[in-house]
Amino acid sequence: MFQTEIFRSSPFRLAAAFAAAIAAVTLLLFGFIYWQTAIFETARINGLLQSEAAVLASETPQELVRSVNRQLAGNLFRVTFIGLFARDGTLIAGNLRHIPHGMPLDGFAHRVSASGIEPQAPGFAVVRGVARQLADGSVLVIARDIAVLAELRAPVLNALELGLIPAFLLSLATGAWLSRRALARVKVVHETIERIMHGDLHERLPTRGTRDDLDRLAVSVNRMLDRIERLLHEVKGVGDNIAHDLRTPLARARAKLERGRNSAGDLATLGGVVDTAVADLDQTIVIITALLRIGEIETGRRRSGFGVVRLAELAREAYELYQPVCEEHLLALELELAAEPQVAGDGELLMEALANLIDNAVKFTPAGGRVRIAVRMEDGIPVIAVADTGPGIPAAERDVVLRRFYRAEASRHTAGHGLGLSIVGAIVRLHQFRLVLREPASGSGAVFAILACPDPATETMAEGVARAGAMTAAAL
Amino acid sequence: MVEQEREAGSAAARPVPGRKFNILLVEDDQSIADEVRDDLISRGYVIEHIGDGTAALRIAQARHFDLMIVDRLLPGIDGLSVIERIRALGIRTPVLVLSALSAVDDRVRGLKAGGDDYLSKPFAFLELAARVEALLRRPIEVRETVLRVGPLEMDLIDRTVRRGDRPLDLLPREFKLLEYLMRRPGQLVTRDMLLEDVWQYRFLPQTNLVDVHIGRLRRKLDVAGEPPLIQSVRGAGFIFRVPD
Repeated sequence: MFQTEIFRSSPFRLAAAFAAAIAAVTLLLFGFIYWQTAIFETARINGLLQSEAAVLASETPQELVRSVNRQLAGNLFRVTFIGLFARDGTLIAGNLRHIPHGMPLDGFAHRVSASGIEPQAPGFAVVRGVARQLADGSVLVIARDIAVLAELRAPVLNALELGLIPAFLLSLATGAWLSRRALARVKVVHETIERIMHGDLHERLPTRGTRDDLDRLAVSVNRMLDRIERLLHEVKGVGDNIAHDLRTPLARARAKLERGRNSAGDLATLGGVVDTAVADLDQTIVIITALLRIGEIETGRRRSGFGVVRLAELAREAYELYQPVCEEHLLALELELAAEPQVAGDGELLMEALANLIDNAVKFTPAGGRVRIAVRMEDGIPVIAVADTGPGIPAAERDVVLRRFYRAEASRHTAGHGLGLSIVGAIVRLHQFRLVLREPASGSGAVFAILACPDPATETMAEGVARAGAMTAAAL
Repeated sequence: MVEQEREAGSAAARPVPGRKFNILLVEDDQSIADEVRDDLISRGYVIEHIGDGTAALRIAQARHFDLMIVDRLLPGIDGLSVIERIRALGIRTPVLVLSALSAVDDRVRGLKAGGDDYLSKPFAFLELAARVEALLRRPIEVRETVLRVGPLEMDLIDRTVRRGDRPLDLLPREFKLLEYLMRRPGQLVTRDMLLEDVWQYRFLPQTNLVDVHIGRLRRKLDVAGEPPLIQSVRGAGFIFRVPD
């Protein structure tokens, strides 16, 4: 299994492709050299034959016969054919029997078929020859085989064998070695991922500190795993909390109903018991509805309702809506409009966010306090803020209150679902705004500000996981 | 105290005397359907219950109903398609859509399909009864620009209100709230209905916003010795009642 994996691995495939490319280029190169040499050699032979024929043609017939015989006897080149033919085609001197068929008598070198020259000497596959008509009408033919070209082929092939095959094998071997090394690392990564998939979420991919591509990939994957692990822990904690928060009113309702059935003396008492049990059940429904709402905002990603929102108008409307509520709680509601900025957003959702912030302020500020809705510009960024003079939020809790699905401990004993800030957070994230918690300039209290600027901390992956978390929580 | 309020509640949903209203209930969950039917029968309505979309479509074409209550998720044809087809046939019967889906988008889709109101499960029976009553009894429309209910006189153009001879000083939102109540005298109006129709909010604020606004309006409406015009129904909402 592991052996065949080597051949499938990318380093090996790269090495094989590289070796194939080297082989192809080498073959082309050798072929070209051979081809050029053959052309050169043929041209040289042609030149020799033509000048030889020209020299012979300039001799007198008597000298010519002598020269032909001398050529034969002198054995200038064993492979040279020569023939002097009379006007009627009969051989006067030489070792050729007849004029090769179709041989032009033009004094230039041509390719001559061997059968036309020397049937007894097969093997001379290719012969170059020159035929020339002499002044007295006789014909001179000289020819020479070009076996030298065939001899040329052998060393070329030898060189190829010696150079190419070892190079090819060497690159394949290198590829196999490299891929074996890479596969060993990939195998470790595979095994680690397998363990992570089986629930070992604290496992991390091994790194070697070499900062090569695999190492850098492992580092990014590890960072992703860190983030996923943290979010999953958050979601799990949230799930546990929600389950607990739902369980409490359900347990109360159950106890009341059971006790009512067993001990209620008359219908009126039973009716009272049922009413309080229904109130408990309503509490669970309120929590579930709020969770579904967060899920809806986070998964919906519906920016279709986006338009121009005038923050000052939003604040005025919220002021009008909450002024009587604050009066009833003996709180002073103040409206501060230092600017009239416009932002791109969903007015209805932003109103919901603002209402939740004011709800919180009203809930946690003791009578006699103040709640202030403010709209202003900070460094060119539109800001809408809700400040109160309540007890504020302890420094230790400040980070967690802005977390998804955070339910304040105090909210477990007050009316409502305690998920107001989570809804605000979801709406702010949908708008890619920022929700920040500040300390008031003086005195105690809390200031929640929505900064209408893109949140640099927004991470797509984190949101994806959070979304999955929202759905898990909603499924509870 | 509790007893009195409960009585006010059941009185609230008392149907108009005279003809009985026919309601078609299309709901596949048998236990919910049984509860809804029993509750509405106890309030004096005549109920026809159908469990699937195809049969609902058939009976809606064959007979006249004053109101249809249609669940969104049905076997056969789904609730929204049933409503769309009924509307395509020119049947204008008011439709209340029921759904386990509470998302705003689903609500918009339900109303777009031709539903007149949308109620998400789980719901309180009083809420359902109030919505049914609201759909059956259309609000009072007046030809003239003055709305007169009991001792109140509301000028819709000048935006002024008088109780008898005494002019009332109302904020714009209070005016809108009172107008909504005056158009539905003797009718239970729930907090959710007020939030949806008067404020046009589709979210539920955590504080008792509606109660506070009603309380403030009430203080302006009734001075010492005058019979109160707005009654509270515990756990449900309010009734604008004209003194006898």
